[in-house]
Amino acid sequence: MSTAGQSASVLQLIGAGCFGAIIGWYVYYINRYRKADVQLSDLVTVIGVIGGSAILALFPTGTDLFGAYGIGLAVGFFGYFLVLIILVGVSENFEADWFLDGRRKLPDGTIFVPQVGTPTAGGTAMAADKKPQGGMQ
Amino acid sequence: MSSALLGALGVGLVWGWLLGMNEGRIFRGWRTVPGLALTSLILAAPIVWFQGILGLAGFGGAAFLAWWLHVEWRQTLRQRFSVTDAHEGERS
Repeated sequence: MSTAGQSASVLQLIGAGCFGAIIGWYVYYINRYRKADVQLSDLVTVIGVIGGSAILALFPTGTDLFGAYGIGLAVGFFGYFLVLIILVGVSENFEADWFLDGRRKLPDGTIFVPQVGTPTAGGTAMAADKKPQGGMQ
Repeated sequence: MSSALLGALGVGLVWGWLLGMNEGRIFRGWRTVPGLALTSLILAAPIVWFQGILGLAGFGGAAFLAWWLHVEWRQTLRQRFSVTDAHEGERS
């Protein structure tokens, strides 16, 4: 473990950055597939993942390792978002409103709007609220 | 700028973006807003402890920037596609 008084090797910095990138990617993934409204327990879990004691034990705040971890976290998190933007942009079945509530065009041309409690194949961009049943427009 | 401060900025950006996803979907404000504030403080505490006020400023500034950008983006999408709260889910 590195402390504030020690300098980390390049390999350690790369490792911490890559670890942060994986965590960031996964945090976005988890939120994308969350089916219910935001709960305090969700936030506590996210805090534990991105800045909890386990993370701070590995990468103490104030060290270069924490810096690499934080940068990697942002890169992974926003990298996932960037990939979503690109995929939605090139797809003919999705428009940017998918980011709001997960609506998409079905093969028969109708627009499907996910509702509360309806698991959506492919999820939503960021945990949109849904009504008990799906609906068409 | 130290790399540790860059790390605080990165964590702040992610946290602010996550907070921004609640735009238009805070249904029980008396419970949710204090909860969000408390969890933000829990996340900020170790950064303040180890990096002081500069780390807190970086974390808070990055979180606010990401939150603001996300909220503005979602509101722009909502206006552009005329997506109302009724489409996004019922309030409870």
